Amino acid sequence: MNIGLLFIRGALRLYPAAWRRRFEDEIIDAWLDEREAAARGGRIVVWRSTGRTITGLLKAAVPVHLQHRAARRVHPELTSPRYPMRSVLIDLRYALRTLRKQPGFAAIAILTLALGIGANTAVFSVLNSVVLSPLPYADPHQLVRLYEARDDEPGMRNFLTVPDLVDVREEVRAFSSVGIGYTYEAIGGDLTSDDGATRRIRLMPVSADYFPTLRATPLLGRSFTREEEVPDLPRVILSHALWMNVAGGDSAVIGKAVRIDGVSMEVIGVMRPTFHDVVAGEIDAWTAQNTADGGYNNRDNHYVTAIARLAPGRSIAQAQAEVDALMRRLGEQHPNTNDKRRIRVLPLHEDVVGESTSAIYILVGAAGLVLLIACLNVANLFISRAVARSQETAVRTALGAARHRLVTLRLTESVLVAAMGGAIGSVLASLGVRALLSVSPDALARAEEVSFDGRLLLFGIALTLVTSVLFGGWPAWSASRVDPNTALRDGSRGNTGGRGERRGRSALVASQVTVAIVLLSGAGMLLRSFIERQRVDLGFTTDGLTTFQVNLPTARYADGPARVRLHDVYQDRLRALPGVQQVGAVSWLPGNGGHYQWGFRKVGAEGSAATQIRVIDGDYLAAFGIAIRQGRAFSDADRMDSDSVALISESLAKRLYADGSAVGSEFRTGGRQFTIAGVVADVAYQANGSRADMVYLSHDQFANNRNWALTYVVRSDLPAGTMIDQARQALGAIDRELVVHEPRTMNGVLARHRAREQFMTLLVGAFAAVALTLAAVGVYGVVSYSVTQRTHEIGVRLALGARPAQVRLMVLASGLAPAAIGLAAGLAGAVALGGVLGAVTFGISPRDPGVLASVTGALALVVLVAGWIPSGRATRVDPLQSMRR
Amino acid sequence: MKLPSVHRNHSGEADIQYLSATYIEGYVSDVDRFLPLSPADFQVLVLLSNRKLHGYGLVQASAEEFPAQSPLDLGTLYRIISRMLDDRLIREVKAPDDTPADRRTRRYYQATEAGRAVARAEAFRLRALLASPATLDLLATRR
Repeated sequence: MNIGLLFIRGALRLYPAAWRRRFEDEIIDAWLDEREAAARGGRIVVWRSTGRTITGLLKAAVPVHLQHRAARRVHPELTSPRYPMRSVLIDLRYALRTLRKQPGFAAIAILTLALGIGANTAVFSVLNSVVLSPLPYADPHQLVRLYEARDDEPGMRNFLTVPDLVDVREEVRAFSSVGIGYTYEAIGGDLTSDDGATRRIRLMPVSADYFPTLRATPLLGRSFTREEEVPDLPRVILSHALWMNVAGGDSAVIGKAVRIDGVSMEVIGVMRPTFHDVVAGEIDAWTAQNTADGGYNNRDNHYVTAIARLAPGRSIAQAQAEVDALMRRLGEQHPNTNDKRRIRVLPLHEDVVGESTSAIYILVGAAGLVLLIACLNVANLFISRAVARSQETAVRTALGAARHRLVTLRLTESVLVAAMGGAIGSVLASLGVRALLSVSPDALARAEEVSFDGRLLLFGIALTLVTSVLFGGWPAWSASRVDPNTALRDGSRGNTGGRGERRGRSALVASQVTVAIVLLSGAGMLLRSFIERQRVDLGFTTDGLTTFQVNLPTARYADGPARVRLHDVYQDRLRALPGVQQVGAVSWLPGNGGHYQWGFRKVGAEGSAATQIRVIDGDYLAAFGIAIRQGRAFSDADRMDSDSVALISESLAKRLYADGSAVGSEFRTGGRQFTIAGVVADVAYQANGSRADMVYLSHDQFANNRNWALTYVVRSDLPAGTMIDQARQALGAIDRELVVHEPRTMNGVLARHRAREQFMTLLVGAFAAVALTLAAVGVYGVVSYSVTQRTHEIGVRLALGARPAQVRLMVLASGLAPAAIGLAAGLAGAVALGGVLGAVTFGISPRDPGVLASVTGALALVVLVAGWIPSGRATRVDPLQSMRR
Repeated sequence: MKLPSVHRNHSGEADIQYLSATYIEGYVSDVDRFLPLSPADFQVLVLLSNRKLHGYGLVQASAEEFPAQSPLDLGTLYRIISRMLDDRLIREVKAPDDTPADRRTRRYYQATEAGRAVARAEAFRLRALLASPATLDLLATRR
């Protein structure tokens, strides 16, 4: 574009918009004419004439503004729809004024929408951060997670063995790298600071390729090398948070030593603050994962997790095919261990958020319903207001207002209301999300990443606009259809609203009730399911149990006997405390998910079974109330030097020893041979009640295998807090540096696993409560409106001898009839949508008739009350008064 | 409403007398309201009193007919045009039939009856000023 033209257009920006629209083209074309003429005199003349035009335009701008303003006062037609921006401003001012005049109406409408928009924004923020956002790594689509499965159980997600993974790492070309991590949460360490204070940190051993697979580089220093994948390497990489904590962010920390579990470890790297480990959660420090064959690393010890990055251009299917071929080959080479074994390749994103996804989409649906019901309510409000203002509309129409102007005027109001609702709603949402996540932080994967961003803002704005059209569009349209003749004639007596309008309101109430019942039944199902889950038989008792971890630093408790001694002494002291009944310990609590899974091989038989291994100590079985079915429990006679014995669960005994010969039989696991001393009752290994075959080993006998981090279980009459305090004192009295870690009640441990259900039940319950309230308000509104509207008619009826009860029934029907229709439709909807809930409900049919019946009853009651209250006014109508009006 | 046709009468001072005396109310006072005109306003109104012109045409005509005045720039011109349109001293008219057809926007303007009356009133006012003996005296002296 010509520079001169650019300046002229710029100068014209200074003029009033309406003026500019009228004259801009003309001025520019006149300038072009002038320039053509000046061109004959040469470039200088052109410049001079252009300069004069620009300065002239600049000088005239202010006078034109003054002129324009003065002219507008004289000629109001300048503000006619030919000037659309102005009309929007006028509408906006008008809308603000009318809303200010009816603060009650405005407040109800705005708050209702704030609830609806807030609920949606909150849920969307979770959806946005958890499901829609990519993982926080480079090229996240290339990342996959590996799980072990079996030919007969292809859906399994088991831990893997190191030798298998080393083979995958070496041979599968479709992976550019494979990272191994030892994610068991028990792998904690005790960090001793310079002043001798000890605290437990989360420590995860990883292979050299772990960080490169995630494309995460350290902030300082380096990560591990393949050569460092050896047992007990005294080197550590710190998280940014731990580095700030122990070294105050001093970069000279590299090469220095920290004491973890009594061992001095050299710091070789510090990770960046932006690094989040989505696989293992927040980790404080990383050590090197041993990948050398032998020891723990045999093809029977499933204890590691793996992630991998697809090579450029390779697909998951290609990788899976290569892995399958490799696993078939391994199955032939190692039939004893690898027969029928598979490795599944799953997208990492899906793996991380997978279980949360269905829950979140259900919440999105529920929030959408809340918004819908809010919109219906506000639409109802707007319609009654439009009826009340039909005179005003009639006057405007009579004076020649165009229909589209009337519609825009009303829509401006609804956009304004929605915008205010949206603003308040966003605040509610941000507070709400924070509150909800603090109530149940374990409910969702990636919950720590939930935040508010631009996408959310866009969502909020779009939602507000859609909302305003949803609730404002129809009322605006129907309001503009007022026939001025009728409206002005009827005006003196207050307009009654047409039949169509009444039907519209009834339809709104019916839809509200429909939506409310769908939400209520959803909430009811979730609540039932939550209660069911609390009731599920886990196979052990939980009340009165306090748990905590005790981890012995290997440096000071190097061998098994030393550890056994400490635990024996400690357990005796705890048992001596008043109020304490039983004290036991276990390597991994029941109902807390899978842990060490080892192969179980009957001596003299082929193949192996996958079993969960638990190392137990003290009165573990008694404390949990796990019954002995056959044989005996461990006794003090089972020492390290006596024959190795084990207990197995009833299900395993029934499966492998159907003839009842379990007790006394021999089997191998973890590289050792055991004799079965007893069979005990099954317990759930997951909080949802899932059972697995269990093998119990005695810590007294098995303490040499590794330094087991034992979780204590204490049954007592004491309050949990007191119990923990005493346990802490008792432990400190034995060894000052030992820590009572993660103290919880057993019910608390299980509650963590129920956090998601709790979260959803809370949220959907809150949504349902909102829906119920709004539906009640809707019915109240319709009945109360119907009384006002029909006062005259009621007066006539009463005067003619109608009994008050009859009149009351008549107006009540105006609200209850549509509610009943809505109820029926809602029940149908709830049954239809029930399937969606199937993914998250537990122990009940998602169309549980009991829930549907009670929800229907509750809603019917609320609706009845909501209609009953205003209908009372009908009975108090004074016939004389009403007819005189 | 139609404006009085003042232009039928052609003798200067008498006309002014006639205007202010006869039409003390209504449009005459409206004419007075616009007086005196700035030189640029006067040029525009005079030029549009006897022909139809577009924006650049006005610039050209003013340069030809009032060579002693500083040339009109487009900013000033359109400020005047827009004000005179608002005051109904000029109006937009159809382009003359002989206008060359191109894609440029050329709106033609012409003075209204009121505009011509104002221009004439200003012309009379100026002539009366110039015709005063003191002015003539001043013009007659050299230096």
